[in-house]
Formats: sequence, structure tokens, C-alpha cells
Amino acid sequence: MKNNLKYLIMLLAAVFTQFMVNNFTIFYVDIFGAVLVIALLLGSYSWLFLICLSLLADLLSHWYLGTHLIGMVLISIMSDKIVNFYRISNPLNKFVIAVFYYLLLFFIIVLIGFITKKVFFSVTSLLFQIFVVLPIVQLIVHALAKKNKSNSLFYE
Amino acid sequence: MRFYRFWLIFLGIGLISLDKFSFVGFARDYVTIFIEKQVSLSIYRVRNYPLLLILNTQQQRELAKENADLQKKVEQYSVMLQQSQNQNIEIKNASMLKDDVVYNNFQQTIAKAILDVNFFANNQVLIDIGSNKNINLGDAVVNKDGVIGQINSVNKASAQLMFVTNPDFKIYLQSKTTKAKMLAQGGGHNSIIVNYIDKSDNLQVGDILETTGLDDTYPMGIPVAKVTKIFYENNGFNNAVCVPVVNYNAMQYVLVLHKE
Repeated sequence: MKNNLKYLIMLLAAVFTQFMVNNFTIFYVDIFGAVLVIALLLGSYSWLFLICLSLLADLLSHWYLGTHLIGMVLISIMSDKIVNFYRISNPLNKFVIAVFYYLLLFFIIVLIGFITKKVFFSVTSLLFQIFVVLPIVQLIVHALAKKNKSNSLFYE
Repeated sequence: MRFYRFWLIFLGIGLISLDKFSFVGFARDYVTIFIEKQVSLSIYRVRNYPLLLILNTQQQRELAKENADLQKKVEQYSVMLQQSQNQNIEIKNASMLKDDVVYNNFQQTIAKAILDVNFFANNQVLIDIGSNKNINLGDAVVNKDGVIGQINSVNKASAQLMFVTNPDFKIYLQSKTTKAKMLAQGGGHNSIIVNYIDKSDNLQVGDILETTGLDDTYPMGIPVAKVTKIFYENNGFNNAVCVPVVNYNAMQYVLVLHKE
């Protein structure tokens, strides 16, 4: 219950931050996409949580509903095999892996946008997401995930 | 797990189709735009609150000033409207007098009274017609209430009218009830004095004094004054103080009578 409350607070903060950044700055960020990638790489989250997160990511941004879901399912095929390696990697490696998977998710989302004729692409926004948003999200999600029972067992 | 992934991809494609080809997309866009608009508006208000406050105060001051000006105008217009309505009534009343049998032997002309300093100081008033409308010295001036006075000065386009209350004005009157004759003189200050009333005339307070028709100036039976006080003099006669039946302050149009 305590962990759920923390996740809820984190999601609300993400909603607020994404809304403010997307509407009142020159950047267009996808914080939920970053959370999704890190959650997949950690491998300790339920599918229900990931599906809800992906639907929330679409709902609060300009993409069609289901875009993040398809992207998440597709990258989950490749992320399953790297979860254990990701857990034992150092922070720099973790960041590089996260960037790779985030770019993959980004590519799938842009591809779907291209197919559905609703594509939005900005290099500055992408760089901002990779070098600012992604590390911050990574730190926060890791900090929250360490309190999880399965992780505690793994680390102990 | 692969089975789930397969169905999840299908679910994703279905959701994309639903969002793209149904009202869901429109609804989402509408809600998003509404929220963004409200948030932008709120931020703008918070940012510009001091400015808006100052603007509001200035606007309120301007509006208050404008409101005061408008109120003044409304008062002016209402007074003008009232005057206009009164004028219409006066003209109607004066016109009605023309049909009166009493005035058959008189040439009648409607004139407008112009209040000037003489009205307040000398019991006189100017009218807007003169010799150009065949107005002559000594013509009688009446309205629906009764006798107002007599023309005492004539110009080409105006004439001066002397009220019955003017001390220089004299008129021969009779009591409406007893028909007793008497000579009245203006007493100033909205009063008329009647001297040398015979005690047998039995004049009472409240009696109306009217014209006799014996002179050629006024028709018979036009009210002139109302008796307000009667008192005994040492010379054996009664004296009376009267007030004119015409309210000069409400007078705007008058009827000038000229004996044909």
C-alpha cells in the first residue's frame, strides 16, 4: 500500500510535469514512455501496470490510444533477455541501455505516427528527453523499485 | 506470454483505429484543448493579477464617471421631457379655449410666455408675439384657469404682459355668487387687494371674483381671484385680500384676446 502510494504520487508528478513542459515550453516530452522503458528493463512490474501506464501515456499526449501499448509490447520482446544484465550493470551502462530502448520505443511510436499520418518529431525535444528527462526518470524509478520486495530479495 | 503479446498488439491496433476513426479522438482533442485553454488562462491571470487589478480600478473609475455623466443627462432629458409634456397640455388647453362661446367676440392668439427678470421682480412676463401678430396695447391675456393680466407694452415680435398682481394693474370685478361689483388692484407678492366693498355685498372668504364684461377688454365671467381674507376698515367698508386663480409658475402658453 505504501509503495502504491509512492507510485501514485510519482505518476501524478509525471502527469503535471509532462503537461507543463509540453504546453508551456518549446519541448514536447514523453515522460511516461521513459517510465515504461525503465519499468520494462527492471522487469519487476506486472503487465497490468505496464498496460495501464502505456494507455495513460497515450491519453495524456497527442498520440493515438494504443501507440505506446504496441511499442511497449514490441520492445518487451527484446528487453526480456537483458533484464538480468541491466540489473547488474553500472549506472553508465544502465543509462546507455535505457537510451537504446528508449530510442527503439521512440522509433516505433514515430513509425506508427507516420502510418496514421499524425507524426510529430523534434530533434531538440528528443535530445532533451534523452539527456535530461530519461536520467531523472531512471533515478526516480530505481529509487522506488529498490523498495520492492522482489528487488530486496535479489539484492540481499 | 507470446499469446498475450499477440493479443496486446491487436488491442493496440484496435485502439488506434478506434481513436482515429471515431468520436473518441475528437472528444480527446476537445478535452485537451479545453484544459490547455483554462490552464493558460489561469496562468495568465495569476501572472497579470496586479495589472488586471489596476486596470479594473481604472475602468471602474471611468465607468463611475461615465455613469455620473449619464445620470446628469438623464435628469436633463427628463426635465426637458416634462417641460415638453406640460407645453403640449398648455397648448391643448389654450386651443380648447378658442372654442369657448365666451370668447366669440374676441380675436384669439396663442403665445408662449418667456420668463425673464421682470417675471420675478415686477409681476410681468414677456410673450413671443407682438405687433406682427396684431397684438395691441391693453389686450387681455387669459388661460384655462382665468385672467392672467393685460398687455402693457408691445414690440414688433414680443410683448410685455402685466399680471393682475402688479400694483399698477386695476380691474373691475364681480362676485361669482352675489354679482356685487368692485374694483380690484394688484397688491404685489401674488396678491390682489379689493377696497371699498359694501358690507351688504356679503362677500365671503373663498368666493371667486370674476370679470364683469362691462369693459371691452375681458369677456364676462372669467375667474380672476379667490378671496382669502376680509377685514373691516374704519371708513365703514370691508376690504379683501385675494390670490389670483392662475398659477403663474406653471404657466407656459397663454391666450391673448383682442376685441374685434
